[in-house]
Amino acid sequence: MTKARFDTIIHAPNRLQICAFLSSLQEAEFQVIRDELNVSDSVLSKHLKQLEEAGYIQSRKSAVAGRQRMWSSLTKSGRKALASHIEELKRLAGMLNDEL
Amino acid sequence: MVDKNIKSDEAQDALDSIEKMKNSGFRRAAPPRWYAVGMSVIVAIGFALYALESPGNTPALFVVLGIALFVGFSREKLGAFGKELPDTKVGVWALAGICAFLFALFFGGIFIRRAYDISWVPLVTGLIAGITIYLLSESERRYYLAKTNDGTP
Repeated sequence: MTKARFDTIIHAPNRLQICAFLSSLQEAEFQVIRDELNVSDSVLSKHLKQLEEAGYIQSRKSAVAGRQRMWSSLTKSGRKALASHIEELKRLAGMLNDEL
Repeated sequence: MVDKNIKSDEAQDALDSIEKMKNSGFRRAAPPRWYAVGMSVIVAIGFALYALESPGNTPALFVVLGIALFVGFSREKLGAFGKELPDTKVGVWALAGICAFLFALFFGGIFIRRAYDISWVPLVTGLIAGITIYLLSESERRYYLAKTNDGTP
């Protein structure tokens, strides 16, 4: 059973989307994430850096035909934090359903 | 800084956003049909090469290098890929069973070819291995697409 815990780092809309997207995958390339989120390179870089500093994602670089590409993936603690955050959101959303 | 005291409707919006992005991830994780075809052709050719008179290590090298190059190329082309190992214990055991089956098929084909000199056996084992790989990849594709339709966070 995952413990419910609100995570302020994950909850910011773009970071939440990044984590949710990566949770379905092993790894995704920078451009793919950017296109899915529909944000600029600089905005995505900023959020990826914050998630990386929190230890929630890890990134690696690869070079193909002289072009550098960056791949990101959720770490174990990132997956755990996202699961806990989702549990907390469900609890809070449950309060809404109770009100209706 | 994000406010911890969010309202319940805001939590619901966040859950909807998570579901949407998870579905996008599953769609990206589903391997395309050309991937299934490519992998099965490489494996089938590798197995079938043992039908040659004295193939040496060429077939094994062809399979190992072929798969490594093809997977590398596919990943670069697709830009995203699903989890390498299944999430459940049953899935891991099923994968181990399929690997054992393919190994048995591979070495069984070589053994029969050498012991009984039946040159077409590796062609049959190659065909079986190719079909197995294609079906596996297709089932992985369906698994991810089914999750897209389901996709609860």
